[in-house]
Amino acid sequence: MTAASGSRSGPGRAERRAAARGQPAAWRLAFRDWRHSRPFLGGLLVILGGVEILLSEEAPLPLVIHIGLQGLAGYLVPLVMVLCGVLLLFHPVQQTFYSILAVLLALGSWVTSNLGGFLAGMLLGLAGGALAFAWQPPGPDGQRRPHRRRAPDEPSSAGLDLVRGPRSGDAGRGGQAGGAGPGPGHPARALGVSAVLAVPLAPLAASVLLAHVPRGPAGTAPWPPAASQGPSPAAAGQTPAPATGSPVPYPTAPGSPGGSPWPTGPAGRGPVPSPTADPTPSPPGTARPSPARRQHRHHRRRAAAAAPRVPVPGARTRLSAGLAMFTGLSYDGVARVRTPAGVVLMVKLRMTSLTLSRVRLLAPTGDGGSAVSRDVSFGLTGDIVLYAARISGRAHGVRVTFTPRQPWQGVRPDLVLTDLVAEQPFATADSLQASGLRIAGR
Amino acid sequence: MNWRRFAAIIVPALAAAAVLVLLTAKSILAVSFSISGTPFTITATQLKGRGFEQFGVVDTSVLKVLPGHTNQIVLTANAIRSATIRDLCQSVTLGGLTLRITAGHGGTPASATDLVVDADRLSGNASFTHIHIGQDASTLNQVPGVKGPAGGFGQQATTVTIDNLRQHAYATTAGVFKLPGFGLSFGRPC
Repeated sequence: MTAASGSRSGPGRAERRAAARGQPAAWRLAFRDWRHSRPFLGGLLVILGGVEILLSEEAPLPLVIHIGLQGLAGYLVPLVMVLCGVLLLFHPVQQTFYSILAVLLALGSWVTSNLGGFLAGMLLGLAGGALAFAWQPPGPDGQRRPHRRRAPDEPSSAGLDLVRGPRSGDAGRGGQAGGAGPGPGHPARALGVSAVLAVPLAPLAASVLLAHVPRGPAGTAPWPPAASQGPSPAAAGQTPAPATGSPVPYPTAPGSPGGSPWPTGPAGRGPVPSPTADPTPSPPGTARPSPARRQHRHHRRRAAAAAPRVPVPGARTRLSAGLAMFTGLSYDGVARVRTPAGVVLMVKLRMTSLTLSRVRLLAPTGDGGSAVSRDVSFGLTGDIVLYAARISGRAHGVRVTFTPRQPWQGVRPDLVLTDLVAEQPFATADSLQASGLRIAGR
Repeated sequence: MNWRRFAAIIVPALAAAAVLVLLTAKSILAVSFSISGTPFTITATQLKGRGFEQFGVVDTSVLKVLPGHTNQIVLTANAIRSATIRDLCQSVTLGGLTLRITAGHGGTPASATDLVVDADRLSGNASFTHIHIGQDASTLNQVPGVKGPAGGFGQQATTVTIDNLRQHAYATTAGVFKLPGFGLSFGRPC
């Protein structure tokens, strides 16, 4: 309908204007001829649909490739749609194939690509594909028939004849004058059945094809399956695959229910054979258990504490809390912790519970920015280990600092600090409750 | 233009599209999401996940339309290996029109695998088990294949539960998304 009105008014206006100026608008006529010798509107809508779906995704590509084949299919389907649209414009001889493929891809994009670009791209693709399928080349006299039905002598397209077979083809040709006769019911039904059958399987077939592609460099992998996806609807129609369940043989992550692949913490209770653990008790004089701490449970630990097995980020991380309540606190010694800037000495504390209120966590992103959590309350329980390059705060109003060079003598099992600041903190805990979590980038 | 040919293909295609929508709403068919560049809001009354990672990333917007920023923005990447989401609501505003997707009401929550959301604002009440806070973002391993930049702050946990989750996000990807009780409407943002 749009096609008809567009092609009716457009050239008419051009001719009027050309006539008014007394000269033919040659390029307009040439463009009109070009347009009418191919399924212009259909191809254009298919391209627009594919582009709309791509725009709705626009994810940072490395992330998508990490996520796997399914993320990739999300891009492949609209890309091949765009390709179909372009081919409809520049290779209209194969319009039947390209238009059916475009319709199937548009339907498949519902599954693979943001619900078909939130419906809009899918509908554009369906409309475009159907328009391109319905388009017919101009007759031998070169006359265009913008909004008339096909003339009886006009050859019907090879594609539909293939679908229809000779009998229904004749019926369609004979019954044209009075509009839609009963004849075309057969092709419609045949097409409908085949389309409905093939549709849920098209993404499946695409994914199966994709799954067989070796995971090569990201740039090269997509295209061969894209090209070979062409005949897939036909092949998919024969595959007795169920349309239920997850459509893609995506290698799901080996589920490790409950148990972390990680040991329960870098500083598990057992002896941790950490290569970075300082074999020599560093600052010897100060880190030895002082008489004041001797009565505490963990006082017999060596001053050289086991370092976390994982590297800890750079110097800008900072955790501050208006109020910090430690329970079962003990000082484990000094650990040598790997950071991007080299090994850093850190104090290591253990505790059984830690409550932090009015927490502000400044976290660098590693490439210049930082994210901030504000006004959170943290409740950590279980086996808690805390490393930090420096801890400061106030105990009963008295300012205290705690560094590897200057371990604080006043560690008690139950400690309350106000205005706590921990620099380069690294903590592990069995559980963490964060209420009022608010994170914002800056 | 042969309108019978047009009908021959558009009718079954629209029927198939309706079937797809129906299958999605019945949670039989899983769909895949990948959005970026347009800010959107996600809310949920409860999100439960196994395998959680969080780290900061600096995203560069392709569109260069972020107000008050150049075209760089600091986002928190939240990755969950497998998640179930109750009362999921996701809204995108495109050109003054707000599209709203809801799912997971009532008994069956929505579910997702390999869900990564890059949010610039996140709020909720969270609890984690076996958490590591302050680990280098490039060494996170709770969600296979998802890692942050080296030298960045990261945290990870074996399980996560977030109540009253609200995220304002710029990018999300998910391997498989199941949306029972799927609803698509135009209206108010979440």
